[in-house]
Amino acid sequence: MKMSTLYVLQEGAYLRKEGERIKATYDKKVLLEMPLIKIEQVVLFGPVQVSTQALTELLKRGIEISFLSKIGKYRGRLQPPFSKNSILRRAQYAASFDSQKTLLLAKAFIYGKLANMRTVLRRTLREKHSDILEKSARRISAAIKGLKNSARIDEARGREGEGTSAYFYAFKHLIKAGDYDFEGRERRPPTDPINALLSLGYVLLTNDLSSACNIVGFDSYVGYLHADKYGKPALALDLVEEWRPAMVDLLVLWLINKRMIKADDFEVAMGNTYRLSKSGLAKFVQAYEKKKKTIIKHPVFGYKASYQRCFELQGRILAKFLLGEIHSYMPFVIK
Amino acid sequence: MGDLVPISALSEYDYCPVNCYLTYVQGESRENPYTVEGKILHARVHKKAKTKQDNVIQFRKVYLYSEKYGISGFADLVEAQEKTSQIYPVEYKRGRGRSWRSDRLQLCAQALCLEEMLGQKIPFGYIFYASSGRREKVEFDKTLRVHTAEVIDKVRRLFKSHQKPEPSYSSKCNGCSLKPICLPKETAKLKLAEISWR
Repeated sequence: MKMSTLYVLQEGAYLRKEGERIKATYDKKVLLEMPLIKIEQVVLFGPVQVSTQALTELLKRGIEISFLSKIGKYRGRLQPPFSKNSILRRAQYAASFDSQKTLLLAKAFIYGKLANMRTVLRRTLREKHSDILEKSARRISAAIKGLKNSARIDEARGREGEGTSAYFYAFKHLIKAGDYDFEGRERRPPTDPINALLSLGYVLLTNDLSSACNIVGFDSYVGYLHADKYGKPALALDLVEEWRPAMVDLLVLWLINKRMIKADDFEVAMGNTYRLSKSGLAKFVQAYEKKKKTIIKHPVFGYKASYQRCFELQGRILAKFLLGEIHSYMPFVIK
Repeated sequence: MGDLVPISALSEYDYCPVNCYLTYVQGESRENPYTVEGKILHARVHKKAKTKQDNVIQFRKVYLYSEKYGISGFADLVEAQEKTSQIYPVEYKRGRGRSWRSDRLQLCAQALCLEEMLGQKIPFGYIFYASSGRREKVEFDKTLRVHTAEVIDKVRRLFKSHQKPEPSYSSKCNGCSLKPICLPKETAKLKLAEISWR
């Protein structure tokens, strides 16, 4: 069944339940209507009102509701009662005390991220040679080699840092349109449009992997590569790593290079903080959602499935590893 | 009474032990067109608690239990012949019957409960297959009773052990609503996969 995430960006919109549908109205006009059966999850940006009946109905159907700020900062979520699968959660917690398993998983997540970052660079290299891209790709390869031999988690993190730094150093050479001032990854706050887009993309991605964690039955707050940090869904962040390059970075590059998002889609706030305007936000969210539905080939299973389905599949692969059904976690490596 | 094994778990185990484990131990559930069809069929059946048709009294959604076998569950329908005082369970199934053996097992388990609850022998019952519209008579002979007791024991041990049986793909997986969670073919591939580190 084709299911979608319902994003509501309109400040002051009101969501209610009407029969078997969710109806969003604003200023006495109907913004949208969606059958409940087609809703995968709900994501609200800023002050959007939702009736309790609508919330209850969504939760009854196992649909999570995420709350983000107007500009996409994660506030929290409402989720239905935990699945009954305590067996998986016990295995998850037990592995978090096992330094061997933790290291194995951390290395697997980092490998997925680095390999996919390198592929993003190589795809451009296939079209046209570039010394800078070539050099960064080689630095990532070196980081992967070091990662393979890492015997401790801080070594593995060090390799991750090396690879990521090489990647973002070359990243601006992948930007083919506009006059953007990208000098490397800047998180807090994003001081240029590209970083603003990346940050927003990663927030949406983390939200989706949190949902995948919940569907599979995990506690999304207990991770392996990401240590327990207040308010951070550590396991979701672990599972996000391998998807950042393909799902977000390539999407951002595509939107910018095809000029679907331009300089005038951004607003600049105090301290040179960039963020998308309302129309820019709508464009980005729509493009992200569309990409989630596109079909890719699973590197281990060999068959094709949407990104969205693959997020869940990777969660299930992790579950199988933790339950002892398989001997290692296989990250999603793109070609 | 200690933990009673649900009767529905027995036929599930007979059909596929992994499905039984995923449903009753891991607490997973998923719908597919077959499960939805089954639900609609059962909703239609469980309308009135007690009715009478010709000389047959019909009891619907009857709670059953057996301390001796440690099982409990619900019978879709229990009929009582007024003239002969014969009582027997009737189980409703969608389709033409995905597995005769699993269905007969479930019916026999219901009979074992009724025998204990009513103190009388129940020699046969019926399975009603919705798509053929026919009732198939099932004799509760010694072979079936012994097999049912064996499966009850196996399921009890499965619940206690928390040991997930090994998934292995076969054609019956295609009709199983838990295939996207069990992932039998995928698990086989994962067992052979290694990170290349290249």
